[in-house]
Amino acid sequence: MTTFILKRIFFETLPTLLIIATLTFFMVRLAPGGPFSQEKSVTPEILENLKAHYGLNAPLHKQYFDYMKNLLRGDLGPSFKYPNRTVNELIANAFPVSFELGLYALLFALLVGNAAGLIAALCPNTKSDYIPMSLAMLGICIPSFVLGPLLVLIFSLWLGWFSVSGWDFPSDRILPAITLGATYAAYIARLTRSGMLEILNQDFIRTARAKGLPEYKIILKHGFKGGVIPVVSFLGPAVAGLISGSFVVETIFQIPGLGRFFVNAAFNRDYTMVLGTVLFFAILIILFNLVVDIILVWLNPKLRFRE
Amino acid sequence: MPALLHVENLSVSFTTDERKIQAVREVSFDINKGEIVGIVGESGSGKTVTGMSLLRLIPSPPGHIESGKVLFKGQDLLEIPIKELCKIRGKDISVIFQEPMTALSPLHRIGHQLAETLIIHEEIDFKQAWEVGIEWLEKVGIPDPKERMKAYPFQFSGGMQQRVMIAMALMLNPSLIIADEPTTALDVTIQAQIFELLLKLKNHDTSILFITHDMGVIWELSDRVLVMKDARIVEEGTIEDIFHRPEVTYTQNLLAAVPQLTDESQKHIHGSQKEKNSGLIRLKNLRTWFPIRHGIWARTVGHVKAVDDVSLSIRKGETFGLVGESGSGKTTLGRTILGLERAWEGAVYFKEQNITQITHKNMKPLRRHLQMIFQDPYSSLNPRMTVLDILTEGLIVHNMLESPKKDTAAKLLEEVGLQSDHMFRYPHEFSGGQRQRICIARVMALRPEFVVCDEAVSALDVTVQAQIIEILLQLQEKYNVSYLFISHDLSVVKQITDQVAVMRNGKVVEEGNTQQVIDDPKHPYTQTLINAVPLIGGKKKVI
Repeated sequence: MTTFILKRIFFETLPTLLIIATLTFFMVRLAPGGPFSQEKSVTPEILENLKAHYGLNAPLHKQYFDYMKNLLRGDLGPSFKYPNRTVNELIANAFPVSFELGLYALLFALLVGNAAGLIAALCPNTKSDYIPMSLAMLGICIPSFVLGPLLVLIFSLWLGWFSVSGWDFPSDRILPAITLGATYAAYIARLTRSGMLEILNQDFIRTARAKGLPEYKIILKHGFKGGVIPVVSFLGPAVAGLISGSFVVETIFQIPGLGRFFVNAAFNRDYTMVLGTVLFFAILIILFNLVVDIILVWLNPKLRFRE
Repeated sequence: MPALLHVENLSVSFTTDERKIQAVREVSFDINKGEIVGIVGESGSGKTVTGMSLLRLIPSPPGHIESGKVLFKGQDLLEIPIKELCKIRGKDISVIFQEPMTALSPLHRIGHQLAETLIIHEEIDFKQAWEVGIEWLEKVGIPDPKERMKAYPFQFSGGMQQRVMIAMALMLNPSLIIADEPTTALDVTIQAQIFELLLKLKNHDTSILFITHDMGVIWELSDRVLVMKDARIVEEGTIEDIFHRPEVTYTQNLLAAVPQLTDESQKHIHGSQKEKNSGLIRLKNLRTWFPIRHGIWARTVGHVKAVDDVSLSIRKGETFGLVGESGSGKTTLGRTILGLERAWEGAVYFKEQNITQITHKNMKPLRRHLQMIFQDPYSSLNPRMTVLDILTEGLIVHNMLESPKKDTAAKLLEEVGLQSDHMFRYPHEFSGGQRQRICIARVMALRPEFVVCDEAVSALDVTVQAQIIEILLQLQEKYNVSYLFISHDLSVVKQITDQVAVMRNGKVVEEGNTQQVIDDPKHPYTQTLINAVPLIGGKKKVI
């Protein structure tokens, strides 16, 4: 296991991050415009000073190596758009909010998705299969910018159960979490269904029946452990996506999360912020994929013995 | 004395969207206390469905038990509530399945799976159940049982897995064991050990319902036989009656189709007429080793010696048999000759040209002469290609297509006994035997000089097997092609090969004229292998 993790970190994670950082660095610079081009009526002298302050007038390769040097120390540099704030600070402030929202959304997605998928798998091609699966299809099709306002309309404006937006009270978490988690719940439902169906047709399920195990134990003990494997594989990138914030959901509900930085940084040509958020997201994805792979090994002992 | 199990008018059907298939039709039989009853029949005859229906283990839907009674200790197993049935499953009636690899859960330790069986049916805690599990592993002959309890099924060989299944089936001392092809997936020597174990460990009063397609196995084990065909029992009788005085034509045909080690070899008559010139394929100290890599730098820590120092010579127009148990390196040897595996050392000469050293470009024109027919006709044909495309793909690659595609395909299909309008169909529309014919046609289209038949008839029913062998021999006669016939079935090898080599752990332990090797084996391993083959009408080896 240690070999496996070390191998992943040194042979996969670090080279991947290096490539991502390099590509992003040059790509944002290739984009037309710059961090200060939007500011109105800046005299050339001030622009020069600004550039000098942020080290943007040095040759590109020098900028690159400087950035990489700082990166190695974990310093993502100053933000070009938010004066006197570093990218590290900005991420550190916004991430906890997105993390919390993502966690609730994940919880919602897992509960609803697994339950729906399980019910569907146990009675394939019946009403209890078609109804949850049609809803799941709907969940995949409806984008969050439609679902969010719809939920607000029904539950906040008509029924008055929740606030329309904001991030102040515990009840403010509910609607955004559902909006963000719905699509994931739908995917999880479909994956659970197909995973369970496949497992329940395996020979060892018949063996379990032949032993005299009651049906619920067969499903929980012998079925579910194998049936959730596809769901777990999906969860790696999904969790990273959930907790790193969603631009759409955070905008609809006015949540001070990380998602808006992704988009705004790109619009503003905030070079360091773009790089910072991209790298942060990449680290999350890699980290959760690693966690998922470890869970998969635990779920499926066969992987432990494979070279 | 009333029968232990009484089955009356059992009918089972499977319904799909398109049609209803009657899998079992009004089947009735009895099993007495302590009796071993065999059900024999070809694939699709309904024997497994019959066995599984007794405990309502068929998948439902699509399966549906339409009518009938299964009386066991005064209860109708088809009527009682599932909760009651669960008390009988595993305790009074246990099951041993065909494929131990898939019948044991890959996600749980052997020990857990054994202990689970006990915990369901008896007042016993996990620790005690674990101890009983260790005892049983010891009884079924698994070395170091204490440690092995913690292992997973895939860390066991097929034979060891089946021993675990046997332990699981016997540990609660059932009155009846349903054994569904328990040794079909295993080597003959392992098969003999498994039978011995099963008979030794079972209580004297325990009955067995034995489901198999193998007549030899039935002869070895059963007291009474039910012959099934097309969902019905066509004949029933004692072992002597069925084997020596079969009344129904189907039973007679079935018995006649079984290749026997004692049969006169047919090949050796027509093979000897041919002029045999020197070696077509010659192997010189061939080694195929696979490195075992370990650790973070993937260092090579050792080698799996799949083929180890093999020298052979196969002549033109000859059938060369290669026998051995699974894992002995037969398939790897076949693949190495064709260049599908890289030789580690040594040489493969095709017409005196060393093809292990050849460049990719120079190998290409030779490829068509070196072909392979695979064991599983289900997975070796691309399910998304029509038969027409499958048959002509190789010809197009080698620029050998002389007439229009359809004419060529029609001719090829005719040669293997299929109809020309079959060419527009996809592989899934054919039976196993027909698919193997398509595979043969695909190979023969290229007019190869050397064909590796890797267990080419092993997955087929005996009657179909006989037909496929006939086609192979006809085509050999016609095109003077050489076969390397890889098989675990000595009877078939004896029937059709001229020369034979016996492989074990990557090495050839004995080699020579087939008739001589089988009649008078020199190497002790060859002797063991031959002795393990069940012989119909011969002395029963097990009981």
